[in-house]
Amino acid sequence: MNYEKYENVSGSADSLEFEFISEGSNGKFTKSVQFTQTQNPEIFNLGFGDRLDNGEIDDLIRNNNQDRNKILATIAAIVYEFTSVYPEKLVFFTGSTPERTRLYRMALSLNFDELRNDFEIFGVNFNENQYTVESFEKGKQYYGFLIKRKAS
Amino acid sequence: MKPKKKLEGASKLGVKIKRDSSLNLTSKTVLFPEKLELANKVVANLKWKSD
Repeated sequence: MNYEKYENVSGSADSLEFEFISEGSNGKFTKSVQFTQTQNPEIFNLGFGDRLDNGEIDDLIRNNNQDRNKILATIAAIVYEFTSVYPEKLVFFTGSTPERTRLYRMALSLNFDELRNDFEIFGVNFNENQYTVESFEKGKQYYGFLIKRKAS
Repeated sequence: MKPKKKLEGASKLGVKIKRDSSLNLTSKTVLFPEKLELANKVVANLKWKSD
């Protein structure tokens, strides 16, 4: 994962919430990342979006700040942090739009060989009224993703 | 029993996390309720496919 990352990442003491500032051609934007326990206590949802000036969160906004890869690499670092504190938990994530889900899939595919050393990676699809989980395959379309840190 | 090795966090990718106590207040509130609702829908109806 030899990408540039934001180094100004702040985190809560419980490692459930993180923030960093995206700086690019359109200005500065505060990015929030939060891990929230789902109704299955073993699975946490990863939420990502902008914290607006009024304090509200917007996960559909497009800043066109020309720093997409830097943001994704920073989120990857945050996932490393969360899973170092909660290694037994699975993290579920999907994009707020199909385009973003596709972007996540591409990022996982491009970095799969490195990421699989540290994570078990699964793809989630919706078939016959059920969400099915399978081992992630590069290039295959998925509805969402589940990852779990490998023990060592 | 051998103690478990501590896993490396963000530093593995060269990022140092600065602890910010102002985030401690919001980390307990759900910032992405719609995403959580969707995630709950998924995890409630999840089937693991055997290889």
